[in-house]
Amino acid sequence: MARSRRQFLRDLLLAAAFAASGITLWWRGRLPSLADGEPTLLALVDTLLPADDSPGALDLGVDKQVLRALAAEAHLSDLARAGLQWFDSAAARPFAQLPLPARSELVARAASADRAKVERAFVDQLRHLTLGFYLAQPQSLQGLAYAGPPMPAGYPDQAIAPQRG
Amino acid sequence: MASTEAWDVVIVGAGAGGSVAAWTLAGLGVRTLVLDAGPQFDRLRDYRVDQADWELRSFPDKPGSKGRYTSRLDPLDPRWQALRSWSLNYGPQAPGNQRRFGEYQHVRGIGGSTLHFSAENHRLHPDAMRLKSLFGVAADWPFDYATLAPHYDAVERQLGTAGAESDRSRPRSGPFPLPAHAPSYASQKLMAATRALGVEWQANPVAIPSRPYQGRPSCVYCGQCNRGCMLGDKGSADLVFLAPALASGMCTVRPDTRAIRIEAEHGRIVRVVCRGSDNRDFALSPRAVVLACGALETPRLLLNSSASHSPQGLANESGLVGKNFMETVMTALAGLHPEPLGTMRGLPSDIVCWQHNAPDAIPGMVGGCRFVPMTSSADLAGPINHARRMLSGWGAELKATLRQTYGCAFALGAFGESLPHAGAFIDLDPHERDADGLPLARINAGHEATTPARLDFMRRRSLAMLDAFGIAEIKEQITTYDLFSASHVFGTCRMGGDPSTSVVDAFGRSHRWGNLFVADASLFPTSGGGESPSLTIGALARRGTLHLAELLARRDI
Repeated sequence: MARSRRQFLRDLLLAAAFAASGITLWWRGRLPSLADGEPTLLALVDTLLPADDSPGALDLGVDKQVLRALAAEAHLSDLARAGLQWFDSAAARPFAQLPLPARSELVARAASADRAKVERAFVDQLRHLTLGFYLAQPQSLQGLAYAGPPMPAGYPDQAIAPQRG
Repeated sequence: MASTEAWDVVIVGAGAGGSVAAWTLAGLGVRTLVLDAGPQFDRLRDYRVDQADWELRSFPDKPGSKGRYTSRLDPLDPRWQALRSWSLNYGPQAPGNQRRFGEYQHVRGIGGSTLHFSAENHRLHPDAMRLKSLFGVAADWPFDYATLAPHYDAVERQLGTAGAESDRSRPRSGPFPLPAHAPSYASQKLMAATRALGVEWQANPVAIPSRPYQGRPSCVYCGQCNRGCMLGDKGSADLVFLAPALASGMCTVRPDTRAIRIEAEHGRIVRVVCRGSDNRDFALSPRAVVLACGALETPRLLLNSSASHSPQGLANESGLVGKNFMETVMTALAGLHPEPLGTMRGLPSDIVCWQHNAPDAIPGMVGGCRFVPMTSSADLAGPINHARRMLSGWGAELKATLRQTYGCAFALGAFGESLPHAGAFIDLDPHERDADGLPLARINAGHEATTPARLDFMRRRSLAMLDAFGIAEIKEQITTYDLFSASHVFGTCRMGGDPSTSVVDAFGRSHRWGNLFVADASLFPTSGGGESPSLTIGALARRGTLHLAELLARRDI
């Protein structure tokens, strides 16, 4: 796992999580477009990382970054279209119109499904992307024992107990 | 295609071996050209560990900086289910019953894989060089530790290796050039917590200055060696060996240049056919050629250079080019420590446990291992991977948990012996070719019979250490049992005294072609018990090229 031991691990983690989502060609044609699913995607991103003492993912434009990332790769786009449809059809109302507890309940259902299910693969992918784009922005890091990128300062205090965290 | 360039020596490959060869030869006034298929990197422009989104980027993947490989891997044995790789949030990492090809972790370019290495600077255990005579397995090195020791000394001095004089795991033939780094706070805690288990830790020797050394600043402990060293303190081959070789005026380095074929006549290499970044071919006719492309590309180049006089490939009279392939045997387990330790801080692997490193130190098998902390090498130092891989859930609760636990992620790694056997070798893929139309190297990597048991020992011992440390719940386990993931590869042009059982002699010189040398980890008859190989590669390259320089001076080549 020493990396570039690191690079391999990242690639593996990404690849393994989103394999076998069960999307078939005949089904792909019946799915809504990514643009049509944008309100649902926005609500999902907000559910995953809402605002509290620190900004939420929507405050930092993470939804737009996620959308771009999903649109950039055909297999991710297919997964997203299928996943968004699942979230919009799993309850009586479209996902974006549900109150927060109901949204959380649906996310929990998807996250606990078998890894081969579309909803699980999609919510795992969405969590992966949302966390990445969110925590790459300095405004997201309020309250975290993190002073910013490792360089140029480094950690000259490495041999003593951390000040915070 | 003819060239008028007059070089004494052409070195193919600018990594851990080729750079030391160039430094050695240029320092002796030998006109040396170093070629590499990969690019030149610029540490300030290419390594951006100072950017907010640093964690989303690994070591830069520039055009030409990665080779392509194919593989044939073995089915898995259900008896070793406990060795499977998995992640809390990402599930099984090699689903199914077949071993999966993860990655050959390498960099093509000026400096080679030292550009992204953790700079561990290990001497081999002396007994690991005598497995045949001591234990009846694998092969002996054609010389002993004492023969290599002065070359270890010289390479360490140039690298500025920082280590502890109390280190008695290997005989010291000279002092460490620099004192050891202080262990990180997390490592201090690990050392204290595992004392009751009888675990002995010591400073891991590293080519990272603990104080300013020969123009390099001392380390600031950012932990991101694997993403490339922005500061320029880490002892990568481009800085430490190629820069002085260039400064001598006797060496030229040419990136983005592939060696396509090597041609031989009448007992000697007469031509190296090269292709530049403009895709034009040219030929070089030096007095000698040193191959230092690593244990996959060196045999590939030789096999791709077959001719009527060498139908099995150049220098392959023994049939052993590509055989005896040894890979990385590794486990890595990660979890969350209950206390904030600031684990993102410090060298990637600042301490090491050598207690099981001797070839007979693991009960019931031949071949040892060693243990190291590796949180940042496992890419768990930043908040993104911490949240993605160590934490569950979402929403406000996830954000709160991240605030509480950031700095608690910890990974423990173990690296073990990889024994050569008939089921592990490199050959040419019969179907896949690169952009130059040349067959790719194919990695055939079955497990040697004792490897699963060695991995099992490494895993169990790691679990015990982590438990004593306070990490009872493992969130991620990666092993090379079901994932081929090699940062270190060895053995495919074995050195030895007998031309029927080795490709090159004890100096890396072809038994048949007197002006052809190998200077990389292809030479290793055995891998060692998990030691990082770059220092040994450098010592072998120095020893071989000093011999080459003597031959050139005597006009024996």
